[in-house]
Amino acid sequence: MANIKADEITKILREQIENYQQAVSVEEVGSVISVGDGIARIHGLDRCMAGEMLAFPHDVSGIALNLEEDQVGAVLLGDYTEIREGDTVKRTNKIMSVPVGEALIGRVVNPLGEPLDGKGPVLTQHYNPLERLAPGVVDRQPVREPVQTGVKAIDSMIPIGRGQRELIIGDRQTGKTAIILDTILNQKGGDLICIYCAIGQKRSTIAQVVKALSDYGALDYSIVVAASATEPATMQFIAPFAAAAMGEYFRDTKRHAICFYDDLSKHAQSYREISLLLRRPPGREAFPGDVFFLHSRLLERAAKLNDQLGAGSLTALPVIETQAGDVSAYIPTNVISITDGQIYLEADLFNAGIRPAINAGISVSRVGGNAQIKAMRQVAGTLRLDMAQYRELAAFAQFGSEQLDKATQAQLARGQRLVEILKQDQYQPLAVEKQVLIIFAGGNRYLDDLEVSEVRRFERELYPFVETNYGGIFKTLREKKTIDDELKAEMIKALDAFKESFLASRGAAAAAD
Amino acid sequence: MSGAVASRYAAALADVALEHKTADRVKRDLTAFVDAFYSAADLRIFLDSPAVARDAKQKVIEKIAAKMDLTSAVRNFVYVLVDRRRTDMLREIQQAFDAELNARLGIAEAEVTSARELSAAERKELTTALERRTGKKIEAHFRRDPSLVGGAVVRVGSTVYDGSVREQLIRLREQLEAE
Repeated sequence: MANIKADEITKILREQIENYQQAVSVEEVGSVISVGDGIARIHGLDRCMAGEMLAFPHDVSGIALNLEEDQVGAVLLGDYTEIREGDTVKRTNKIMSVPVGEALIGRVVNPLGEPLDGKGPVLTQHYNPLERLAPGVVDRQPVREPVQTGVKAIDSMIPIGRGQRELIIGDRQTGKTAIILDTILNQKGGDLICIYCAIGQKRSTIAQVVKALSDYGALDYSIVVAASATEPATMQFIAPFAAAAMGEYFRDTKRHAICFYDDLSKHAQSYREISLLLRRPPGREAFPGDVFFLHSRLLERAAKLNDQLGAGSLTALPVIETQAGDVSAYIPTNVISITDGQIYLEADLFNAGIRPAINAGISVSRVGGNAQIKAMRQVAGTLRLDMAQYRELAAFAQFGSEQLDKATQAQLARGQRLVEILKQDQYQPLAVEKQVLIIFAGGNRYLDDLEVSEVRRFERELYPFVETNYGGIFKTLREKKTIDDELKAEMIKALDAFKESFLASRGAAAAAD
Repeated sequence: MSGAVASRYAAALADVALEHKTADRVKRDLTAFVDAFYSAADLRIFLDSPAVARDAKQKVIEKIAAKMDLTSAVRNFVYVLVDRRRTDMLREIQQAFDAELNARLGIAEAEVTSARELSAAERKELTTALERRTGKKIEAHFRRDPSLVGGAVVRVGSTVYDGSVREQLIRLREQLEAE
């Protein structure tokens, strides 16, 4: 043990005190006029900048949001109950920043980057400002690599590319978060860093998500930024910006990240609360006029950078919760127009047992098609067409399908089976090569003569069969990412063989009954 | 906010005062009148009351102005305030006027707090140093506060120059705690 004598300590302290610079500190200060609801009005601070961080007593910080002729309106972060009228406020000349970097991976943090998971402090040297200008036009390039969500309905018909912004929209309890979780789980072993940002959710819900992530080993490549419903509106307001700042670090260091903002409806509400308290004029649905800009500048930060900048990407998957399916409310229309497409989830489909409850008819992805792997594009074309025709006919056929002609009935039967193969259980993301195989099977009439109720068993048993007997198919698909004639022949061969054994086993099962 | 109203009247009065180059006189007279106004409750009630006719008010103001030897600019200004029923804002207007005048003439008010009483030479030195730094004419008000231990704190507008021993001790503690 290193001993240190008392007079040595004194010597060190003396040196410290002697070398201490005698500088006069220059600070710009103001004083609190009023404080309440997490908002402080401050007199003074003449040269304060918009968005600047302010230092209050008791280690509370704030962000200057309103600059008026004779006062500054600021939102307070942290425990503001100790702030009193007349307290001195100092400028810091800094924009609010959050810790970013590798150290955050695997952690659950609040919007200030402070850990919530009890795993000790976050040790990082890197900080990014909350608000940063999005990359310009020349800094970007079109999306070209896919984000594999592992959800058949999305990867085939509504593909998402890296750098894209795809909205997930639906009522409560329609599986919005489930899609996010599956997407995160599917990134296992990949190079995509997932940032899940919970805004205004129940603590229990956040705990469930974190538990699911850690149970499936997905926390190793994920960050959770949580601002629960009990936290002040300010925290909820900065949460997605903090998540974006963390994602930008990976984007700018030539890597790939994806941010899930769950959900932006709550975020808009927290911003509405702050704005009304700051006495900004309310507009439609009492939201302030710049709520559109709020979300557009957040989502604009998702980008695919060009090759000179390292070709990193930040993908954004915002979530919007609608009320009774009303997508024409203010916030949903705003975010729909900002994003590059949307995934509609419907309560009716959900209740009919179609899960994920994606309405493929009105869901779109405006740019992701370019990013889809070629093999998927080859098989998904017919799928889209078949599904569209099925939906059209299904509307008629509701009143009875007996009198319909053969071709129409075949089309209906095909559609029912395709709907069946697009169903998927939660926490079971599917590798893209398996998706290609089952959609190929559906498109090439392998399912048409099965009972609808048998389709899922067919799918379940198909994968291990092909894996053991025709493993080369999955391998080739993974590597070449395209279906050439040779592979196609091989796939047909495998499917024929499996179908035969499947039908035989069905016969056996029927005989056993 | 009433601040906006007061500053409008103050700016108008400053325009007049600077145009006639009687800024000092106007400032002094306005302060004198405002002090008188707030010290005499009768006068305040009389001028604020809507029950009193405008002519009567004007006559009274004229007499007071003659007695106090107010410049015509200030007297007319009070007439305007009476007409517009803004006499209840006189104090705010006077403060806004002082601030407005200071801003236009490049004068900054400084509040100097020191641990011990400063000598005249020290005051002068400090004032010239501040004028060099801010590029404005400094009107300093001196105060004493023994809790600073040593040195001085100067506040100009919302900028604080803290050269006190107390502040240095606080910062030293922060630095030692951080290590």
